[in-house]
Amino acid sequence: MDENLISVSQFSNYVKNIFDAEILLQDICIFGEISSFNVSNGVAYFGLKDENALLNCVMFRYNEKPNVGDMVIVKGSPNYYVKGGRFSFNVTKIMPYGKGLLYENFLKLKEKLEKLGYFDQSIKKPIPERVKRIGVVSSPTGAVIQDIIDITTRRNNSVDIVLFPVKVQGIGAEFEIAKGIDFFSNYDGVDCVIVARGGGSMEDLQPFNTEVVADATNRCKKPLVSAVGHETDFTIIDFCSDLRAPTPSAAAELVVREKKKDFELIDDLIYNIEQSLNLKMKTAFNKVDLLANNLNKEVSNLIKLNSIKFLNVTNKLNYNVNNLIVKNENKFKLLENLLNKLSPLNLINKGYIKANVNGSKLKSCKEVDVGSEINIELIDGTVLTKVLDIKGEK
Amino acid sequence: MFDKDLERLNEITNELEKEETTLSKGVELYEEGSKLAKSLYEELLNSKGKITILKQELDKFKEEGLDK
Repeated sequence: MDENLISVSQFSNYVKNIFDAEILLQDICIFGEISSFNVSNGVAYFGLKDENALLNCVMFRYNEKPNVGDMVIVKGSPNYYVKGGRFSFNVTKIMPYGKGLLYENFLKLKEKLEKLGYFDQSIKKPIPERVKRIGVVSSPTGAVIQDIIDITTRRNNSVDIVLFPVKVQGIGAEFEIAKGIDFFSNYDGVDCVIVARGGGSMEDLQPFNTEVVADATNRCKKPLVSAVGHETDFTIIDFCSDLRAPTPSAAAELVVREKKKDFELIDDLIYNIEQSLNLKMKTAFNKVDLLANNLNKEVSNLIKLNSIKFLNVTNKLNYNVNNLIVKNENKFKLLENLLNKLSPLNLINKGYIKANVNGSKLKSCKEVDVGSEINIELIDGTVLTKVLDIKGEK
Repeated sequence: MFDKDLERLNEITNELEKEETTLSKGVELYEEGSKLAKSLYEELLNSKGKITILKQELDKFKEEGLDK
């Protein structure tokens, strides 16, 4: 009994040395739930527990105070405090575990991708107005794909859906999702891509918070709509995608235009065409009308002009004819006057007479004998006379 | 064809406007122009009729499509 007897110090130091010497126990990470958290003289004392155990922890320098109940990972080394006879875990770092850790990783990746320009609005591709075929990257089973099919069919039954079946959670899911995105990126048969998953815990949604999925989304040549989880869930793919839909159903509604809307659009276009055509017709009618009127006007002018020309010529003709007539009338009158002047009747009027013997003009006494009959023409008749005597040369 | 005819009608009108155009030439041009104007009116009326028929067909097709 005596041989095995050691002092408290010896024992305590031995135990301490065991912990200190064990390399595997240095700088290790332990996860658990914060069961208590107290600060004294700048030193934090807290308990870390799980279902079956409790670990007392000490942290000499800490930045953030975790809440009781938080799941955390603590990094540090075990220590046996000889003087106090207490075992504790000397913590150098506290990190959130579970949601907290995932969220931290999420933020880190988000920051990294943001710096790489993955979220730039300038690289977002617009969703086509009219989509004929949609590529869906999702689980082949479950409500999500069914919802997308139902909504798409209801809105426009002529839109096709091509499914690239993938695991949407669990190990390796992110690679399958990225493969699906890459497939549709290079597949000409679809107009856009929907990456969809229903609601789940943050851990379940992790594949959509991975860099591999972010890279695939970023290099996708087709417009990509992300629809992961519920409206309140934001994943990395939502920032990288061209459009984030709050839910998978909403994604289908955003992408598939209602058939009725197509009809309305066609109606609008047809109306515009009709209006343009009517305007063109009206303009054409007006042009033809104008030209036809001008044609009539010009031909009327031409006729008018030629009528005037004709009238001028006929007027000139009449004038000239009249002139000719007047000229000749005057000439005639002159001649008539001259003739009148020269008429023997003028001499008779003046008292001269005209005598004829046997139808010949009597000019000399020698042409008659006593007893000859002489016709004497007076202004108002003829007198038959008989020569009684002749005085003059015979 | 319509634009070409319209242009020719315009040329005819311009020709008629010229002072040196004789009456007989003018009548000849007018005859050509009035024939062109008539054909242009016909073409416009035909187009209008065609549009009306097409619109009716489209409306009918749309109604049937919506019924489905």
